[in-house]
Amino acid sequence: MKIVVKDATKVIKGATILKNVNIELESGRVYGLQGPNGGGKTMLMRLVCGLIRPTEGEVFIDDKRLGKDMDFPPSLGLLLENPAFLPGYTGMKNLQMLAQLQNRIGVEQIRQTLLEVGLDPDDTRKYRKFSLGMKQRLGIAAAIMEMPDLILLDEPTNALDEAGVEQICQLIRRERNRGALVILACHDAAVLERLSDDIFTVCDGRVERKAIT
Amino acid sequence: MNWLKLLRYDIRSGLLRWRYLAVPLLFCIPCFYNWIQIQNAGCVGTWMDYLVGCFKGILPVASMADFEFPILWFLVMAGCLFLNLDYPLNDLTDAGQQIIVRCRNKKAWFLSKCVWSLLSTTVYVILGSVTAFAFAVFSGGSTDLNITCDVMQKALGIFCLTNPGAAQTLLVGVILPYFTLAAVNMLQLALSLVVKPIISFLTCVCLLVASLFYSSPYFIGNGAMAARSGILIDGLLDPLPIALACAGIMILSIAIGMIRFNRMDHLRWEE
Repeated sequence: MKIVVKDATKVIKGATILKNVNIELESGRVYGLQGPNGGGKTMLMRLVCGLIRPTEGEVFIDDKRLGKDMDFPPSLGLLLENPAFLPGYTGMKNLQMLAQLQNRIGVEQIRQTLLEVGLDPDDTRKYRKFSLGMKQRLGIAAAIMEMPDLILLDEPTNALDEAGVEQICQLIRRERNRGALVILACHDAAVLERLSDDIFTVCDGRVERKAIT
Repeated sequence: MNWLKLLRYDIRSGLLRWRYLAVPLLFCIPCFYNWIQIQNAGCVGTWMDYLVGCFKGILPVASMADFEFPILWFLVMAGCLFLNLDYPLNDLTDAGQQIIVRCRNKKAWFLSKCVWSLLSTTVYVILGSVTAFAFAVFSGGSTDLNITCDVMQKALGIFCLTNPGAAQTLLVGVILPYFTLAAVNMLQLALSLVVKPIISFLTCVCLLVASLFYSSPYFIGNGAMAARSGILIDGLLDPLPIALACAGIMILSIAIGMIRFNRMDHLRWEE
């Protein structure tokens, strides 16, 4: 998969959120996004996954124009800020419901993914009873369970303990090695530098590649 | 992706909600009021008498001196709008975000929400009908599909001269109100893509209020007023133009909503 963001500018209610962004992203790599709150990291992710359209410029996924040739990338896993699921369902049932939409994976793979993120597939608690960390883990499971080609993770380590962060880092590395293109926004610079092949700094809507030391 | 799976999700997360339990309670208010009126008139109401009473509305307004705001009709109409107000767009900023990126088709997603809106209106009318049925049973009235001219004239103030028969009564008491509610809900859904949901709700409420003053099939709201039905009272509104107007509003709302949804950004409310 190759993603090209070309001269993309996004203006919302008169405020320029992204300014003339030009980046190229390829499969099998982890791209880190860092920058201050409100700098445009989440908006850049929304732009790449088709949830917002650029005011100017274009986004191409494998030479197909997003928003014209396709509404969303064909194989996408997404965790944007706070994960949201149906509150009256268990974690397992929520993921089953999502998986049924594409029918790419079965129950066993969902159970396996839940175990990998540190959740019990047989947990009978409803999502509304989950702790913040459990919600975050379920969000990550939803993003990776179908082995998508493009994975967007916005602050995946939020609310996780040290062991949880380590678990998620291993999963991200595994997804990268599998050939997925991972875009990761994280305020923890150490985690970001450990995981990323390339880092972009997103500040005031401008995106610049940062040299990795 | 199978579109029916998308619809199944909307039914699960949008229709199986506790708030639908409030619908029978809401319909109890006009039914109870009508029960008192029927008792005072010394009659016994049928199922359809109670249902037509819920969608009675007012006679065409000749002068402002005659105007009396139909609170109970308004409650029933606005209740349905309120019930359908928040789900589609809340879902988009909530669990539905995972759904839309998986369904990968904005048109399919919006169409599923349109069908959900129709289903939600269907459930609303069915629950209202069941409430009216319960009132008829408990007050010792008949449960057939006919209205009683005596009840219409003495209790509800609808001066129908003959019993129009079951099919026509169903048209006045169920089908036309359903069409009207479905159309105004679809309009609300389309408007909520342009303005905040609460503004779209208020706009639709204003249209309903406007229809009180203009007795025309093209003013949405008239279709759900039995007091203005040409079926019950000679010379009033013909059901065919009402049904066509409702169908037109629905089709237009779906088409405009789909175009708008395709072009809009999907952000959280605070953004």
